[in-house]
Amino acid sequence: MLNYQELSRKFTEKLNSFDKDFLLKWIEFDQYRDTIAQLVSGETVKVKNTTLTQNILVDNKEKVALTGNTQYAMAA
Amino acid sequence: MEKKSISNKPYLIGYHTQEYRSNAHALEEPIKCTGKTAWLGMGYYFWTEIEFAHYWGEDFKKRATGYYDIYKADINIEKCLNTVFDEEGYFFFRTKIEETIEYFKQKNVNVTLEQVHKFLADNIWNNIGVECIMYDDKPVNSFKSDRIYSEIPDLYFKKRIQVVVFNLKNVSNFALYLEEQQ
Repeated sequence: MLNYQELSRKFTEKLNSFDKDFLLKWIEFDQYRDTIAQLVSGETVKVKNTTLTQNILVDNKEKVALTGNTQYAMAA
Repeated sequence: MEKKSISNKPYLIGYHTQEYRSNAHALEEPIKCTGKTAWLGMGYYFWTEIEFAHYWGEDFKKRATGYYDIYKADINIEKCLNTVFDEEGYFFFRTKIEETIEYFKQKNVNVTLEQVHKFLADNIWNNIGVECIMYDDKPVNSFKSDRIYSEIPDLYFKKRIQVVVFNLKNVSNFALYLEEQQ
């Protein structure tokens, strides 16, 4: 039979031994495992490619010549 | 629920439902549940009553052949966390689920309840000596079933009990019990 007091201590000790990195890696592993399980059970994957156009807005006031500019050279 | 003692150890009779295997031999061991229905984590799932084993077959296990099989086994429950009939077991389980959710929160890691159960099955239960868990939920109808569980609507007085076994060593005398059920 299970000794719940002893079990509780062991549980907390074990849980606290997992750091954030371990938890994140486990989540990643679990998601991968889920995908594989879904594929094995007959589900399909639809891959869709979308081309995105990137627009960059440049404010003229933010244009700074980094060479020959003492203030910015110091900041770097 | 049927119980027995083998070599002075407590055992429970469990029922395992699977799709009927028309052109293949019967299973020699239960199939490990790894999908979304593994709600207490990866493991070998058994119903404690034949009634619910039939319902599971009727609703989910006859898609390919139109029939399902029910297997029977003896499950060693010596180190089973009994959350259904043992008050201490229930509160221990509940507290530990809450503790795990809180731990993930503290570490700023998002987690679902389903993942918590899977995490515990993968990393903790076996390591601390919990070899199976007995749990129950309310019977509900699947999308294609209109089964009447209770004459008084919503008063589901029968516990739908399952045992998840993490290690196959606790399953013995696994054998086909009812074949080609509809």
